[in-house]
Amino acid sequence: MRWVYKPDSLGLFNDNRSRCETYTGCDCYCPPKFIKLMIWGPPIPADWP
Amino acid sequence: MKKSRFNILVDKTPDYALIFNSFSRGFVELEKDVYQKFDALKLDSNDQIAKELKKGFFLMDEDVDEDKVLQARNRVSRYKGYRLGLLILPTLNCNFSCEYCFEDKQRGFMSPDVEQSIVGFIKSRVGEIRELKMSWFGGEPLLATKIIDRLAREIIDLCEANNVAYHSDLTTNGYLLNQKNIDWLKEIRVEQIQVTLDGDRETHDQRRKLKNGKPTFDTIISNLKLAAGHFGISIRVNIDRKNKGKVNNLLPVLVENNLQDKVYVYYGIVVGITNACRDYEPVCLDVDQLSDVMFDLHKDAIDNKYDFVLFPYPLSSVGGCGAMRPDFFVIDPKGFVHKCLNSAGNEKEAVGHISRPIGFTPELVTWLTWDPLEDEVCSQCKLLPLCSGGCLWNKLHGLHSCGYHRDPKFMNKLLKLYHEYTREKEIQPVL
Repeated sequence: MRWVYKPDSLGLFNDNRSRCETYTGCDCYCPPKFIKLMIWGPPIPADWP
Repeated sequence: MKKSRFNILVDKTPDYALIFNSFSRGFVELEKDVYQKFDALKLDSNDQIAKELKKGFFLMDEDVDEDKVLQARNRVSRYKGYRLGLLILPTLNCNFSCEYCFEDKQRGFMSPDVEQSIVGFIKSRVGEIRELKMSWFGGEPLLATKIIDRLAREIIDLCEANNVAYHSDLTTNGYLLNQKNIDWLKEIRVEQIQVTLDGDRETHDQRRKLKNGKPTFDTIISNLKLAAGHFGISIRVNIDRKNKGKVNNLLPVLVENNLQDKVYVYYGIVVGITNACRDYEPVCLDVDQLSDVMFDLHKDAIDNKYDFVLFPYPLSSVGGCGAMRPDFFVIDPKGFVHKCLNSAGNEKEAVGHISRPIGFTPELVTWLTWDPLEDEVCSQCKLLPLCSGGCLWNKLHGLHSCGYHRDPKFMNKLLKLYHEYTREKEIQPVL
């Protein structure tokens, strides 16, 4: 087997994706809050929160 | 052992099978013989592969009730309440006249009384929270810099005095994002900025004009060059039937302007659902079309190595849209409190007013208690862990509430593309 994408940890205190953000698919208007979690892309700016 | 009901068979070839689990977001390639054993539940539970698959929620013990686990995860996240998020609309006025805008243009600005009520509300909560997120929205928020300045400085002081982490973002059309405003936004600790560009100059300027009809593209690009490096910048590209074939012409323009390492691009969709934009509905893409258009756009970005276009590998909206939480509110210029931006400016849909304590109005109770596992359609959906019910505003208005990202056809193609890409590049996922 090969992990194409490793699964999230599923513990009670491992919920670090609990935000409203566009890329989860609600198609609303707010900016994606968690884009630093995207898989690839340019380096994250140093001051990115 | 049993298999998860959230397993999705993405592809099956003579050599291997690809399976995605929407609860864990894990994505696995299994050789043919391993897949056959997995599918027939013939893997030994002590086998290393079975252990890995259990970690990824593909397999689990018989006594695990997945729906209950999902419900618990959502509730813990939704009601944990250590943070507060406020989306502030200091004005609904705008210097643009975009043909598809979803907001009712109203000329007024937020009054000092409403400003003070917002500060008072935060004062009442600041002892209970650890994190405050202020999102400045509009209309065009950069038409209301004085209001934002007063509010931000007072709120930052409050957070510092109470050891609350302060975060802030701004959604702007970008036309007034000049050097003076950039310096000021840094002072008031705005960290992320979203600007909209709907294609290259020709396409964008047909859609996003100033009120007097003049073009805006060149000014926005110049401003982005000034702002780049000072903020996390996302560029939203709105797509409908009119510009669907042309939006990716924007990407080489961003490279020409040396913005490729300093911004992220993501594709948004235009929908005709509010009173202000319902007439635009025929121009919007339906789910089937969106699936194809969005896939082609992301594939094009990958093929051309435009890696500043965000790849929408499925994320989990644990707990659901912010509007369903007790710690997120939208406040419009008149001080009406809403759960969703779609109702801003429409007093009838408000859940309260910022000058008064927010009570358990029937509207608010609906937002806070709606549970997708009690919904006939959502509860059966294999993608439920990803969207946690989708857009509740749409659902409450009798509209399609699933995002296009959750369209199975789109997701299937997208995951196959991701598999191809990671295989070719030998990319190790970072999460």
